[in-house]
Amino acid sequence: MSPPQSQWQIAWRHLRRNPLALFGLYVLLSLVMIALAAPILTSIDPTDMDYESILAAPSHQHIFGTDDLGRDIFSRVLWGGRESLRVGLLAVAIAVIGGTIVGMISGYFGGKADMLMQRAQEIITAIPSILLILSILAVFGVGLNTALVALGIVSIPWFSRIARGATLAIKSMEYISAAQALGANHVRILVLHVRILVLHVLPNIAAPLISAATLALGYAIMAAAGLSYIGLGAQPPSPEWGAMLNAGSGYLRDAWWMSIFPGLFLFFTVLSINLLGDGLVVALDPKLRQ
Amino acid sequence: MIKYVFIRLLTIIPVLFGVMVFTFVIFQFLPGDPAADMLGPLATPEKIAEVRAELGLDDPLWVQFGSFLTNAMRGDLGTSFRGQRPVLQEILSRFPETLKLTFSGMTIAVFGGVGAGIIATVSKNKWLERFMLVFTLGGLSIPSFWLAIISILIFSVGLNWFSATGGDGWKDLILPSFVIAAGPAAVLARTTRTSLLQVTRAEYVRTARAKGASERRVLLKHILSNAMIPIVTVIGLQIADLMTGAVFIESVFARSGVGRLAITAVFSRDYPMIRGIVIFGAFVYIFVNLFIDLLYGVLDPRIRYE
Repeated sequence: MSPPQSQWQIAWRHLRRNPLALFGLYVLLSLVMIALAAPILTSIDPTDMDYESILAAPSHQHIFGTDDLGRDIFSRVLWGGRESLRVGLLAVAIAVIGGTIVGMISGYFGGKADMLMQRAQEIITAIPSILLILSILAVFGVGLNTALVALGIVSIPWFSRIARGATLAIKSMEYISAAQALGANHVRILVLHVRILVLHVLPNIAAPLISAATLALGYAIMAAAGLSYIGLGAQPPSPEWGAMLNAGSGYLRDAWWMSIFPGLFLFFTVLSINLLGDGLVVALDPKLRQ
Repeated sequence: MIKYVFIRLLTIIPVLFGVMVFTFVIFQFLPGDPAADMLGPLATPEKIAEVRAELGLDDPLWVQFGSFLTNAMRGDLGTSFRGQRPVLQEILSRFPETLKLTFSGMTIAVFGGVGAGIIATVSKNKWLERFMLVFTLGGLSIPSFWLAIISILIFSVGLNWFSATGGDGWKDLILPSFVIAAGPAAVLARTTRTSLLQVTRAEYVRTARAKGASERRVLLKHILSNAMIPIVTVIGLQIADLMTGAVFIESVFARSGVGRLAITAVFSRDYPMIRGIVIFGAFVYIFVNLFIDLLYGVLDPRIRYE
């Protein structure tokens, strides 16, 4: 007989047998490593302008070529990876933390708090997310940091829905009632509720949140690059992939490399995250595993 | 059915009201003075005070909200800072351009996506199915604006088949339509597959086969008609998305639709315009969703009675 396994071990066993998800995981890990190792992999500063070689085609010296200001695209793409990962992770963190808190409170306490939060989210989701992001950028100013906060906020309802549903499902279970029954004192009720939410509810709703967060990461990275591409995100001279593509779109006829390499990295990053996310959705859901 | 329509119509009123409250509140956070913004840097303090009074900016907030709401109900979303034209008029003049792109793109996406989904699932060919899954995941992962750039590089710069940007002819619609169709087609192909697989396992399908119905009849009458509901939902959501959010594609191909109007408005700090587009977009979104809901009632009589 094999020893009992935790749900995480079971999930990992499932993921290991999914070649597409594994491929996604390895590609993603390599991209993260390349981004982190940027200072080791290239000695050229991403904002260094070399006026001797403006719009130079890929060569030994500049393997991805140079841009309109003579900056090395290889170096910019590597450093840009850090920028994209930072933006994506922070935006998802805002969405997951915000959504989990809202959803758990909604589902656990129910009643008026639940009603109020549900209605508020109905209104937020009734506004197309790109327009919501644009209005946040208009009010609070254009830039990558505002963009990532806006991206995080518009994704909150996604996570709160998952957290609320999952909380409702386990609220009625006996171990929650037992934990509730143990605390009679009025003062300790609130502390107890928080304890129950963090110690009992959170670990049990972590799985669906993780798979959703992975898919949201791909969306956030892609959307942030899109906003930078139209000029509302990263500002020059930041080596951000979307901003690089924006610069490249002025030189489609003369310098294809400006538009190809940042886009390829962006595409493979999002693709690997989606492959992994798709695998996680199945691996982390006991119903889908069968 | 009439009662169902009526109830659904009633439920959107609080949401519409909420959207108005939200758009009113968020623009209260604007730094600076809207009247000064509107008049530009050369305005005298007296002139600014005059315009403030004219716009009602000195009134209490709830009075301002009241007039904002009643004006909006009459179709008055304010005047744009930039063009000095009524916001709604400006949006409506750009909307046909966005609609053109939405419907040409969605036509491609529906035929391509649903078709691919049906073929891959019905053929029961493992390789075809796997190919479709990988291909659609690629379609979902490729940023639409980069796909647009690549398509311009290949078909305009390389092959010289189309002009890169601008232009109003039907030929100029081809490239943007295919690019904008990629994402929705991928989503539709996957939804179609999932939905078909679910319905195929249903008991009424087994019953139909047991009765001796032909494979063709089982597929058309029993499987496809029941699998349509999730597919229709996704089509509707994608249409709503494109109608309100073709921001990136319109920007790459320099098409003058509502999406590009929104971007220009953000850059030029034309707040009445942005607010107008957000309200307009939310209305379109809510009504498209309402339409899908009503369509369910037609497609599936069970829903009407709940």
